[in-house]
Amino acid sequence: MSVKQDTSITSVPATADGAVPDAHVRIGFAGRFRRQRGAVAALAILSVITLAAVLAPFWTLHDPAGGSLSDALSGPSGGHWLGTDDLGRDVFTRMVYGARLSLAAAVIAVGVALAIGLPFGLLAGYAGGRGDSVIMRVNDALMSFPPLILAISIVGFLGPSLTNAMIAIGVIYAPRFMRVVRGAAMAVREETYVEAARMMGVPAHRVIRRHLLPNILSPLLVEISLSLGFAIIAEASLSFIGLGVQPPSASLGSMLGEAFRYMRDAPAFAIGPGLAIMIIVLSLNVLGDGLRDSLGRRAMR
Amino acid sequence: MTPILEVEDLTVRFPVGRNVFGRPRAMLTAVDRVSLAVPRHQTVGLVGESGSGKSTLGRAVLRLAAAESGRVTFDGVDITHLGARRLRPLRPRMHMVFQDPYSSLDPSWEVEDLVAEPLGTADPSASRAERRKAVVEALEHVGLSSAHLNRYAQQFSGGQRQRIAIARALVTRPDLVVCDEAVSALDVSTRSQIINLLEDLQRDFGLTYLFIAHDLALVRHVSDWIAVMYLGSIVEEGPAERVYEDPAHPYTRSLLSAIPRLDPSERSRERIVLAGEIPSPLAPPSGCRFRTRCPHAMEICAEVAPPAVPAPGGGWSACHLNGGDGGVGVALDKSGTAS
Amino acid sequence: MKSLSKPTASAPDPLLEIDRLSVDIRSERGVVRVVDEVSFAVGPRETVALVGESGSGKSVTSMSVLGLLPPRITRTHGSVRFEGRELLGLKPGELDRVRGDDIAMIFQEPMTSLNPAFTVGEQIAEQVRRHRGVSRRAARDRAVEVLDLVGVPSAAERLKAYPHEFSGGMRQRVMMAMALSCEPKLVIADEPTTALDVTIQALVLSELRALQERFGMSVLFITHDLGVVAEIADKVVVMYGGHLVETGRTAEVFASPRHPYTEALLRSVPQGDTAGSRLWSIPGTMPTPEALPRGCRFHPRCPYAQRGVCDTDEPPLEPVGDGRTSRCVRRADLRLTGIGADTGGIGAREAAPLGGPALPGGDRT
Repeated sequence: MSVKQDTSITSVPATADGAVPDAHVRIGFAGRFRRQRGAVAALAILSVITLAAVLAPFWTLHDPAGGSLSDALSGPSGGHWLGTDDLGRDVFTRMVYGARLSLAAAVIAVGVALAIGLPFGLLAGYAGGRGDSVIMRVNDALMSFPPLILAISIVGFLGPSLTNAMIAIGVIYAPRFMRVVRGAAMAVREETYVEAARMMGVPAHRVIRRHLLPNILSPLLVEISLSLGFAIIAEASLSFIGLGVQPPSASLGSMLGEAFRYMRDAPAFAIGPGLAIMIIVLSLNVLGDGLRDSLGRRAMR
Repeated sequence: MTPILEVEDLTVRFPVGRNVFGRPRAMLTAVDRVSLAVPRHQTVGLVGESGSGKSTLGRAVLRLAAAESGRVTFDGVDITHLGARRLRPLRPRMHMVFQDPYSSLDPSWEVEDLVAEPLGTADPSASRAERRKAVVEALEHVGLSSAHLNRYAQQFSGGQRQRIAIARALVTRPDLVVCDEAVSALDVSTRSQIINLLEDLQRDFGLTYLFIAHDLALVRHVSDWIAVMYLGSIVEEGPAERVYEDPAHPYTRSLLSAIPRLDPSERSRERIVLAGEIPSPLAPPSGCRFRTRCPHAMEICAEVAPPAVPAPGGGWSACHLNGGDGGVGVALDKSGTAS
Repeated sequence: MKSLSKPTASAPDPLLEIDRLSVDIRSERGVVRVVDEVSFAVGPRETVALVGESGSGKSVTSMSVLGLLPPRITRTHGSVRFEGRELLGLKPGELDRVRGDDIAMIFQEPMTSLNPAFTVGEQIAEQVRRHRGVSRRAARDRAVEVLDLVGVPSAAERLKAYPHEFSGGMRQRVMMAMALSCEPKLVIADEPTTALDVTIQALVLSELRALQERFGMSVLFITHDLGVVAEIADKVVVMYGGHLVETGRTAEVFASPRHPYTEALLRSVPQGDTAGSRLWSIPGTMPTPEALPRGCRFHPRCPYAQRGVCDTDEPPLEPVGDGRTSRCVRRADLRLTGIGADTGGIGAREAAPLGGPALPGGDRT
């Protein structure tokens, strides 16, 4: 005989009806990102380039600083894939080392920008009111300078060197980070869980660290990847005009600057670094856009 | 026994709009000289339209909105101007359940951390194991279990999330819980589950609720005492049954008549339809604030703010129709009748 | 066959006829059916309420009627006929002419459907000109007329106001004015009062009712609020888990529901003095379309469910007399409680404790 179902429902239903299956949400970011083919390709390219640059000493065939003048400005050949420069150095090897320097410079520049922009942005976004107004007015003033002119004057003041160029780029990008971080933090501040934390007596520094920071990571990540691209261009521009990396070291930008002089005799010399800059920056931008699309704040729900 | 919560003459004002220098353009009076007492182990319902200031009052009680004047007393302690450090020991004893179960739980946290968050201030020295034990206990009280500890809020339905929020409110064993539209965002069937749960918890833990909602039928169901707010002020208060069966203020009457009835045959019933909408709190009407929409507005209503007059059956109302030419009401201790 | 799906046999020529409408949505996890063979009709001058909780498929149903679902990820089957003309598969241009001309839509959040960059007057007039082809001047006059009609005070001046200058209730009325400006035959209203205060809701509902009487239009009202249904609808269509579970005239369905889900919905709304008693509640949550239970979709939450009966085959939607339909195989065994007209609402009777909704007549199987 059929059994009468147990109808004694307590106010609290069994947990069997519990959470939605994991797959429902876990698909989240990784799933969405994977469908962004361009971004996946960009990430792959960047990984290969970064790996190649970092491991340069272990696989390149030539010394980036050594060469013989007798080989100067030779075209591409089996021994020198992209030919040699005016001092007979292997262009390909120099390019790999140059990429290494450019990438490192970009990372450090963005690091500097982040170190300035993140705390001030968080503070302005969370505190609001007068503090926010003051920080943002200073920010606006900084942002109203033409970036390259500002960089040139900073480097001009500090003296030309790669470190100073990186600091200059970092200072220029700090306001941009501040703006992005502040905007995101202001949105998160309006979330009820922040109000709930205040209600529980959670101190402000902890609210910022544990609620605000994790929840602004997605826009921050997007901004970081886009800024890395800009930083590489900025470094290249400064090095091109001789304010960045100093010989004998080379970055992609300084190589482009040197190659410029021999444009007619050895075009391959310029094409290599130029193409490398383009590929890296394009990949970073495509990656940034891909991240933006798969990290949408609402999409996280 | 003293009420667990006493609000006296509380005024809360907000700056509206800011100029380039961050200075406010105008001040908005969200709560205007409100007094209310919440007796222990009872539920006081706070109803009103959006813009009535009911949520601001609830937030001011927990010091989420700053009082401009007046007093908030929690268990005999004046907390109106208590500094963050002195307030911290009291925090675990009062809590809030918010309307939106989606935005009240941080999406980047696991359930265990979400529910444990109040313990951070209540008992910072507690070990991880002790904390987990308290969390699991709270989860079990709301119908969840230790199996849910490591999930994220987004893996739960709206009703389940509200259970997590309630577990978070419960974990420090508070005396007072402010429920701010705690079930409004939920579906009909889930809503009654949560209401039943809140009532069970009240019985089991001797909780006191300040229940803020716009759903009058629900408020009637859960409340012992009801206060009706309009444009920043309480216009009527009384035992739940009296307020619903014999409303003394025209605003309460019109609110009640606007509740849709489940019975289609009541469709043709007489309704008190309010003209216009709630006026801007930036420029409240003179005299009685309700007069611009009141079907019974008289000349005196524009000139004199009506005093609180005791209502037969308990509580009071503030309307010139109910007599009281100034003397009676002013002397009346509004909150005294609550307990 | 088809008479089975119509809520009433008496309706002569329905204005809108939805016949075995299904909607599939393609997602990352494959194709899921969110609306499953939904059939009902809206007759001339009739108000039909489509009721359900979130996840029931009611909003997708209403959107598919107007072709508002993104075609890239949805596939619609079945038929939606308006005055006998098939709407599914119409070209966007043709659909545009039907939308606004004969069918208008009112949404829950009017801000999303009003353009913030244009004044309210411009938007209404533009709508009138597009569909009626009248002069600028006539369109403007018409805008004043309809704003006046829906109770916007000093309509002529408010024409120049932008949407954000209106309050929530007023905006909803502007939406109504816009919807009515071309005198549609059918208005589809998707939770139009959910975001409003009860006092404003009462106003908007009575306005809608008055307008309906005046213009003789039909209304398809999508809501989760049974109180609102009782106030406005002639017929009610109840959805659960993507398909219909009960249909019929509102008064009859509310007085004596024929499906346990309808009963549960009615009884979870506190009415009158219920203090001290427990609210009727449905345990658990609505199933997701990917994980529908076997058998009756409601059976895991149903207090009357019987093993071997309710968890085997999906029950069909069957006529139960008076033009009503129900999808419960046990409906003949159950005496479900509705709104007692004589007792003044369920609150007046003993709200059955959650522990024991009695199985009437004992266990018959």
